Amino acid sequence: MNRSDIVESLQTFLLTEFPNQGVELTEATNLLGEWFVDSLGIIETVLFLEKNFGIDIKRADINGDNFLNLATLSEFVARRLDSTTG
Amino acid sequence: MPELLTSSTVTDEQRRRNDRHNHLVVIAVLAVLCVYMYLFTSAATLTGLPQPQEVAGFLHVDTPYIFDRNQHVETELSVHDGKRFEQPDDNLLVLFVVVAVAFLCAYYLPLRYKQGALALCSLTGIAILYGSDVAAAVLGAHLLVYLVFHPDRRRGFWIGLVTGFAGYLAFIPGSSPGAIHALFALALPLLVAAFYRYSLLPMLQVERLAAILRTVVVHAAVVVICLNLVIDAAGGGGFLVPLGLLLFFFQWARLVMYHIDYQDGLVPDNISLDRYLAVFLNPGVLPTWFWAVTVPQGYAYINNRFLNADKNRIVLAGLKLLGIALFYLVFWYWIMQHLEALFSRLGVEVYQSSIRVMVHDYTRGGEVNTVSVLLTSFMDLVRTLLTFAGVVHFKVAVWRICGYNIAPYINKPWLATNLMAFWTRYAYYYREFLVRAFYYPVFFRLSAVHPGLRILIGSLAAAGLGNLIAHMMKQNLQHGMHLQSTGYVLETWAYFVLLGTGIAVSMMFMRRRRRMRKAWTLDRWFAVDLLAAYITIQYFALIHVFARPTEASSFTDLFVLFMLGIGIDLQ
Repeated sequence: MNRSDIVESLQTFLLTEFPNQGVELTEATNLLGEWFVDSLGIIETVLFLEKNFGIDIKRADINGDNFLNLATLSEFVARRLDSTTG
Repeated sequence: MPELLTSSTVTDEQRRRNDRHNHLVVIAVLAVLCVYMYLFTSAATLTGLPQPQEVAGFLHVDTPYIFDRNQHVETELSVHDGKRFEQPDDNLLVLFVVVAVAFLCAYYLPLRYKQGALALCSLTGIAILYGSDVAAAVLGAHLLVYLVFHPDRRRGFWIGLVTGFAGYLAFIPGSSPGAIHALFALALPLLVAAFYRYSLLPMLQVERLAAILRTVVVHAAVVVICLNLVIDAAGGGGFLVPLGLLLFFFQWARLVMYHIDYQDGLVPDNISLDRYLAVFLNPGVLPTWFWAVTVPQGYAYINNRFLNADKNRIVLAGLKLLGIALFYLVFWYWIMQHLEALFSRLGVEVYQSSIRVMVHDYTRGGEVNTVSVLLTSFMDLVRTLLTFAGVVHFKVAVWRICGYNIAPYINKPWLATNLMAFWTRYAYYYREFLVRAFYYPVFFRLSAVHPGLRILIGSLAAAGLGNLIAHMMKQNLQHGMHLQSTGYVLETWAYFVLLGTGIAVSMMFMRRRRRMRKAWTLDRWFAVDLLAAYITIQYFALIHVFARPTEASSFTDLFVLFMLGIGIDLQ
């Protein structure tokens, strides 16, 4: 799965699960500030990532560096997929 | 809603750009605080103005249920355990003055002094309201936490000296002979500083030992409560904890969040003392401090929200919240009385809007029906919500006018169409605390478990166990650390189980349902939103039957009333 597939998949999920956030969802949209709403939104996203990409997510992965925006989140998923397959 | 986890920090340069003065905003805030002083305190008497009740009478405003015997507005906003002044209203007057001074400091002082000034104002407020010994105990306890979390050889020695002196002020009785005073005033600071330099500091350099020490200082309240319970169980009756330490212990949730932020690497190692203290000491902490710890967030959230936007915009948001708080604080009792009168005219018994009164009546042989159970529990929640909203809005408003761009604690809970959303809207920060402190640790350890089961266990861990522990802490700190306090909370276990289960079910339901439609959109599903909102609120209200036992009630009594609420008569 390449990076654009990951971004598209994440974008579809976020638009479906957290609709009408009042801002356009781009790769640079601040997910933690403008999209996720709160810590339970993170739980939803973690479950999606685990199910959809088959990756294992730890408590320490939940931080602003990985979950800042679509770009950082997709990079995190790609890194995790690489380490799983590699 | 603001970010809670983001690591993006606001730079001081950005803060300076946001720190522009507008004197009209300052005048507006001071004017609103003057209204608070006029309505809730003896300010009218002191200034020779007519009393609020007289003015209301002159304006032909319906006045019953609003004023106290001093002709001021009766309020739930209070300075709990403030013993320095005879009249509770005088305590409030001091509080409002402290808030006003803190606001002016946070507004006009140069950026580098703002947060330190807020901590200092709060400590001064505590000293005026409770005494210098109480303020010294709070400060000393926090200095100790700071030393353990942020060890430093050179700076630590001096802070150790101050900690020791705070200990002297806090714990050496004023009635002791002068020689004893002089001895302790000199020896205690040196002892503490030496203990830190030669004993604690080497221990803090061993990572595992340091982690244990950090956990111990964060959970000092838990340790003291457990110790007291053991002594109580052994027949010793427990020991009294000084008020200053109680005030510190009441910040347990915030300390836990600070610890989590620290573990997540969100707290800089070289954090200055004033920035540390500003997380815990804000004038917004003082009013009605035993009613949940408002804004139980750690360093990351609090610090990242300080002057992260235009200062005047933040202050005006605080001003708006002060206005909303004023409405709740003034009119809550009036609203309740009119609602109760309405139900009385309709012939429905709502037991003074108190589940406890209903339980009491039922255990004495009174007849209760489904409508009464539903309406009484509903009204009990309305009462809690109205009083709670007034107090927490005021507290959050104080944080805001002091420059913290933080979310409201309570946010239109009646708009929630499921229990998960209700919990968020009803007690946002408390829920965030429970999620980060109890939900996450369990949830992320169960990656191999089915998602539904993970959610259920996580929800039970947070809304059930975590919530139960937090209530137990509050009960013990507020009503005395003895087995009776703990037993009382344990008796209400069914409430926590039903809340946790309800939240898990609502989360699982929301996951299955595609959320393409926003709630409260004016379309053909609007009536469903209305019904869902009622069911959500009624469920939350009804499970409180288990949270309001009386001395005479048994679990069976509460169960029968709960079942009656859902339409099953077991009487």
